[in-house]
Amino acid sequence: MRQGIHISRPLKILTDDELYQLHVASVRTLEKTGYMIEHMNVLEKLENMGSEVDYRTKIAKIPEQLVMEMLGKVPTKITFCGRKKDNDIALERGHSFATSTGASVYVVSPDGKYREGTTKDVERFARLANALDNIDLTNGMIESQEIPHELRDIYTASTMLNNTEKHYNYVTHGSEGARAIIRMAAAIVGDEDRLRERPIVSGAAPPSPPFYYDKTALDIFLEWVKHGLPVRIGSLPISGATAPVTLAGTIVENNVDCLASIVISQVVNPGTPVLMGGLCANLDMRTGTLAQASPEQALMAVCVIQLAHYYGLPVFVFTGMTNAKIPDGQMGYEKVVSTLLPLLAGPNVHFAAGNLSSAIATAYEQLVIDNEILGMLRRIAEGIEINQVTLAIDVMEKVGPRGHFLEQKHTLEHFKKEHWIPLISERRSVDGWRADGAKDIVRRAEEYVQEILSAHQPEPLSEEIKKEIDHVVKDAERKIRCKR
Amino acid sequence: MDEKDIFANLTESCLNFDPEAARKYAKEAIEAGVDPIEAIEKGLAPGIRRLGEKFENGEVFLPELIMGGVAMQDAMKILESKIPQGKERKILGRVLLGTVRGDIHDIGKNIVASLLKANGFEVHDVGVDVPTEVFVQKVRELEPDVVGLSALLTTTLPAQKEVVAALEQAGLRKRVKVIVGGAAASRDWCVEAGADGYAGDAVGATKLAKEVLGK
Repeated sequence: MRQGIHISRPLKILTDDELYQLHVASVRTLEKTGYMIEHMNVLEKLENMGSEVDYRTKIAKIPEQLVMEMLGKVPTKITFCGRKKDNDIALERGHSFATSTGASVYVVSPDGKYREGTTKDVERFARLANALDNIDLTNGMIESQEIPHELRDIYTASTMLNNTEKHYNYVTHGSEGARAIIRMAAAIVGDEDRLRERPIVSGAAPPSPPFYYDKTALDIFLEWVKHGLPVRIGSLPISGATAPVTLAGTIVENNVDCLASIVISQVVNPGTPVLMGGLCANLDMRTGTLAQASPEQALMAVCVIQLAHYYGLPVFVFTGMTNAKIPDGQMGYEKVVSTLLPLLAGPNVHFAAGNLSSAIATAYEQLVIDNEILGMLRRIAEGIEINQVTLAIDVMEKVGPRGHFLEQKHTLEHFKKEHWIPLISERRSVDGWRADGAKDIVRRAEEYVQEILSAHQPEPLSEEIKKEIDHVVKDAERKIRCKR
Repeated sequence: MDEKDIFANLTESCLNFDPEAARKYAKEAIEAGVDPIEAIEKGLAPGIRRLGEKFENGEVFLPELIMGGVAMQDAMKILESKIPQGKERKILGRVLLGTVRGDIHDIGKNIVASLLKANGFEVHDVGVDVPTEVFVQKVRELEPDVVGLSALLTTTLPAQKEVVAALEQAGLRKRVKVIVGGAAASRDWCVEAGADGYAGDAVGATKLAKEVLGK
């Protein structure tokens, strides 16, 4: 089991009454405005269970009663598994784990140049994330632009699964991709039943706000649901554009997406493990671009986490956002603002290690820098332990006035737990820093990346499993080519 | 109220992002017998142009600019209905806009459409998930000066290239300038897709539309 961190007293910025108001606004909207769902079978199922369905507009008006009933069917605990038990993460209340970033297009090199990701990058990013201690699970990270777009998700997934021992959450581009990744994962753990017991992969397929589930996304979503495998829900509403400009309105929009997805999942396959989520951000009113690393994003993420706790569900939110294009000063402060507040609220899964430029890009050095930022923030979230041992009255009495504590056994015993110890941050004297080449954080991260990539190799899959994964890839490729 | 006051009021209603006032002064212009083309060109156009400048300088924000655009269009509808037959209003250019096949994202395209309209372009928005054939058909039908192709997803980018190729095949490519945008597009991609220009945001797209038309 991976330990992650435990947040014993989660931060709350909304009162219970305010949470109730958000909930009421969400169920009213789902009941009055309704949700557009491009899927005949799902619409029929919803109608049979008491929703008012207009087949012409494809809008289902879902009553509160059905929402509450379906909420009751969602498992309250999920364990995301790794290939081996020591990489399992139990998503229980107060336990928090960190993920790497979603599918980027570009890799930023240390000199700030953007280049398209390659298959080699997928493999190297997977290995690097596998080695970094504070990263508990992986996401899409980078997609190989060398692979034709219709096969890109399938090849990315096979390379990732070959090179990570950690849990892998991935948004495939289509349902064929979802089927392929499920088959690959089943080959690794044994079969599909075993995969439900030990889900080493999980999915997501966000709807398009406001209130719309398009066919492609819904087909992916249903693939995970039908297999009874964990799936992350919530969307990416943009406050002021695809959601109301008010933060409360944006949170409601995302919550409606979550509730609609919960209803769909439980109507289709009751008991499907679902993680609440969402990435609420805002429109930059100067440029019309997406401001993913805004202070509002941090506030809204806390609210999504609080709502998940209100419903008693596990929660997965993206933090660690930045709009900075390179690992610069803006990157540093945006990442901390984007992460610290939501982390204190106790998300089960959060972060997006490696994220640059609103997740369009990533960088090896950024992944290592983010591992460092996470270390600091996790230390804050863990808080201060107060008891007879930590109060250290005996030790102080022993040392007395004008003494020092470095020679004490108490120091030796507790320093690693009490203090966070940096990996690459510069804390030496100015002279020491100069003598070592006056390197900035990107240079130091670059050296660390080289060190890991030259040494760290995840345990390889057996030849038999590798062959089976290749077979799944080729099979999916054939099906996709036939369709076209 | 004389003509000059009516023009000034129309200008002001754009600058104040006030559709209600814009409609009111458009009606007054018609009642006062003002030439509708003059009311557009001397009243609305300067207002929306100045609003666009203010936006670029950071004095005005996107929701204000967009509401200013709504004010202009509302007034324009009233005025255009009174333009005598045979007379035509000058436009900066006609733009056909759409999100390519397989991609249902429209917010970026909508922002670009608003900005283009605010800058005096005539915009025909053909929506999202637009099949390549529809782009070709609409180019034939509407004879736009510029075709703007949007795509958010990396997986749907190739459809932009398809549209360029289809226009080529239909013998229409030389008649239009094709510009591409969306989160996944880039300058390199623009070259690969055989388009005439790329912009990374809505302001850039408006500048680009003017640039490719040499305005």
